[in-house]
Amino acid sequence: MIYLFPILFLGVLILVLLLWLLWRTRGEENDRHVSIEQYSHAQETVNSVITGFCVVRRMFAPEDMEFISRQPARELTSAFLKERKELAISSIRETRQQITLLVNLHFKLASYTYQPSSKFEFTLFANYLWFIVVCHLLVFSIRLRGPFEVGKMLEQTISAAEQFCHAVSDRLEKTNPGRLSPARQNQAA
Amino acid sequence: MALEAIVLLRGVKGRLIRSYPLFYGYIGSVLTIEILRFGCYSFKPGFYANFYWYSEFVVILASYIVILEIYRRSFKNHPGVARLAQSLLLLALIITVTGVAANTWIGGFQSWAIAVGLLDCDLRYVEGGLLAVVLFLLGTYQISPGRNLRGLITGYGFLVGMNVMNLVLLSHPGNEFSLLLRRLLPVTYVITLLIWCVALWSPRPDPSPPAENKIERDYQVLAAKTRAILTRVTTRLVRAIRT
Repeated sequence: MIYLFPILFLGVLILVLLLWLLWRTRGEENDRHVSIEQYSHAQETVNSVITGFCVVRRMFAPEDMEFISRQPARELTSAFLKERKELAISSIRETRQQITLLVNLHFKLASYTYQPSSKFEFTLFANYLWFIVVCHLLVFSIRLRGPFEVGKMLEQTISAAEQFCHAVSDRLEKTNPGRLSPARQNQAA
Repeated sequence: MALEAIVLLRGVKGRLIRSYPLFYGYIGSVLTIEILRFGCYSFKPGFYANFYWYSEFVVILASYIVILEIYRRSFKNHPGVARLAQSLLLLALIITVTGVAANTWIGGFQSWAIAVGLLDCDLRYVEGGLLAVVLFLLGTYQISPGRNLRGLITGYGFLVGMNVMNLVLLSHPGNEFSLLLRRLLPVTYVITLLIWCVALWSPRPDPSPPAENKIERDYQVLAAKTRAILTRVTTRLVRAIRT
């Protein structure tokens, strides 16, 4: 009986994929065209995410904590820890949202280029999944141990995000902007 | 048979047959085989069982051209994704055919009728694997099929998905669910034909490919391209600074 499970899984998978496809491609056709505005916005997002890594690293750096802990007031330390924890979590969430937006756009932009190669696409998809997993683990660790005890995991997250941003910027460069929808069309929709 | 004939007639009348020749070829072959089966059952009932399995083999082979049609039409304006799909489909085909061949080799050869019956099942599984790959790519890259193609994919996906599950569960006769599915099997095909009937009743325009350069957008395009190059330079710079 066990050998039948993969085939049963295949049947269920086909039906689930079908529903997913219908859901993903619902609505007007124009909504799925990438406009020049979206394209430019993606470039800005890639830039802001990449340059933002320095800020993220600074946020998790132990120097601030060392400075605060030297102060006599104990409440100050706990208030600082609480504030920094919230800031770190919200920053990670924001980066995750930006990366998710980029991944969606990246896949849409595949229609505008002759470039996608199987290896590149698989690596990118794996990078994205890895990034999401590490992000969740990082948030969990920050909640558990605080923002200054997650150095290694933070480096993993940033490295995954960086790889992803490089791949997206590569796709943006190889996209033919001449085939993008004009900005006005998108505004009208 | 009536629904198949309606789908075929609407295809001819609406000239959809020109856009989807492979799909209508499949419907035509299924209709012809069903007429032949009916004739065989009426005039030579003793030969019907063998004829059924041999003709089912032809039907399943013919159904592969529907995948080809979906692939051809969906990725028409997406050459990059089409190349990716090609290699993925080839990979899925090799994996499933290897699995199926190994299963057949382990199971051993008993008779031609049984072998053809088993091959029919295996071909359905291969078909399911290929369709899953196509659906995954269409969903991931948000490639929008037109209304006609969407209906074709919906009907075909539903039919193949249900068939694969039915084949698994029917191989365990006696349980209640299996008996229920046995009754549901013809209904599945009728539902599929109804979906095709509605979706392919009249021709609808396919989504237009993204427009090529227009002179009035040249500045925007140039600006976007420049920004892309700047983004690339920035990422390389950041990478260089880090290392």
